[in-house]
Amino acid sequence: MVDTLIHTLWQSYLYFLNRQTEFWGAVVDHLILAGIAIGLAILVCVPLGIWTSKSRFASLTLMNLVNGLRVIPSLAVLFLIIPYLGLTSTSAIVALTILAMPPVLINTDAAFRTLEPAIIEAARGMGMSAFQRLIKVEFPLAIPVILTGVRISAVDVIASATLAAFVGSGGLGIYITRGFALYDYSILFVGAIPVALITLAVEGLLALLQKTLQPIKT
Amino acid sequence: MAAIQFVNVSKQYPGTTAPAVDNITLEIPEGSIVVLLGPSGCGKTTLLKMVNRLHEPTSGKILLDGVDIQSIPVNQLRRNIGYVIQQVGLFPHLSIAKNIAVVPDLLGWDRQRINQRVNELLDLVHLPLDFRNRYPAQLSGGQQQRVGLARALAADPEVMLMDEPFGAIDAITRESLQDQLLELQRRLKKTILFVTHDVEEALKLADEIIVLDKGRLVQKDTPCNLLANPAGDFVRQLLNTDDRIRQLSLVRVETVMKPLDSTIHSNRLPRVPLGTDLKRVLSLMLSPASDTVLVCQEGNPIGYITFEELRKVGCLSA
Repeated sequence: MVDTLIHTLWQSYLYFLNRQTEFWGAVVDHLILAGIAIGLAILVCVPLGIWTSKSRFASLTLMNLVNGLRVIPSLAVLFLIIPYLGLTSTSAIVALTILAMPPVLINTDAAFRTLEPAIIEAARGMGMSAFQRLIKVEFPLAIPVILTGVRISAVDVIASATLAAFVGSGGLGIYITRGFALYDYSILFVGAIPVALITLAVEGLLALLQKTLQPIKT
Repeated sequence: MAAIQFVNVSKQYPGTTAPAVDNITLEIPEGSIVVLLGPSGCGKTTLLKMVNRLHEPTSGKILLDGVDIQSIPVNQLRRNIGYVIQQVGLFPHLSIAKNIAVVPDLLGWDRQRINQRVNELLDLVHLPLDFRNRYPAQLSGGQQQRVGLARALAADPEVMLMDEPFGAIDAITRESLQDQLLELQRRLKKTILFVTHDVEEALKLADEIIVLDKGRLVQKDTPCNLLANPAGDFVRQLLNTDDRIRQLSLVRVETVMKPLDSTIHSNRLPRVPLGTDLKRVLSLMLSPASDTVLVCQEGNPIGYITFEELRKVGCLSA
């Protein structure tokens, strides 16, 4: 059993050595896909989360909508989109962005909702405009919680970006689909193991970033 | 001119049956500490927060130096009023120096002027200069509120609003902060509107006390007159006038003394400085059997207190 595993991994390593150009291209594609999805999710959901935290209407509608979207698996989303956007990387990016959005939105909403009321009152009482409060006080204090959401998204998206290979958009998923097609685990591992390693590395980097940006010094 | 004027001010929160503040007309004289005193729910905080428009009155108007505050842009109004709250509300992500500099920053002061002002203020509230680069979480509760006070004073506002600023601080630190506020006030002569439910704090700090109950003004008087002539059972109960010596220990000479006149000429009379409490005055009167005590400012007599005056404060309401 262990012998077989070691043998398979060795085969994977040889496969990797023989196709380094293709492999590194796939890594770059993978990171670009995931990066775009996470970036879009941040761009859309941080402002939306600020809005939902301050408006009852937005909170009721948007939060429910997003929570509804969460229950649809990414693979299903992907296949639902293909008829409209075709077998393109746009389809993959849309599916991944939808996957990345809920944690960012929910955490941004929570971050702004749980700011200490006394701090906000002090800011108002000293004559900060709503915009100044947001930039100088609320946002810096909300960053750690928002970043927690980004971390959750990043892990989900990097793992799920393997789906892009289904629509021919590259990424490390190509080895997984190829491995399935040829019924060859050693090829599958060439995709799966790097994805796991990248996920861990990004998680670690974001945790470090969170620590550096932690606004409250004790 | 009165620094703050309330004219028929009422405030009713939506969904409530009784007004939180009920038709209050009031003048807060310039340069004095006026304490709004009453149990929780009496409307004192609501009244205070209408001055910097954190709450808006349902009817009536508030004037600041004769100008209707509704005619001043709200953030400009707030930048010109010092604001201190019970929970302090320092910004945890900013250094102490930056916390103190918030309002000067908003007013667009240049960096050098802000730096200098921050140093001045740390000095004023008796905090060491190396606190500049610390963060709020590294300070004790008392130190944090000193920073809160410095922050409110930063742009040298005429008017200060203080909402139970020492309410969450331990008794010993609270007393020293109260003493310090009085010492600051003797130098700065701000108009301070101060909310508390602590009777002893009110007696100690106030030039004038305003007693509120259910949104209505019950009595407005100096600490001495309040003790001597409480207007009705509510005030009497609130003051709970049993321990007279304790109350005398809270009232300062300047709220009782009469200005010096030609009838007083003995150089041998005992002397006390401004800020002395009446208990100390009483003990001076007891020991060398002198009925009169002189009040001095920087060594020069400026007023006097007689035993008769003291009796009025100490026991008349019984």
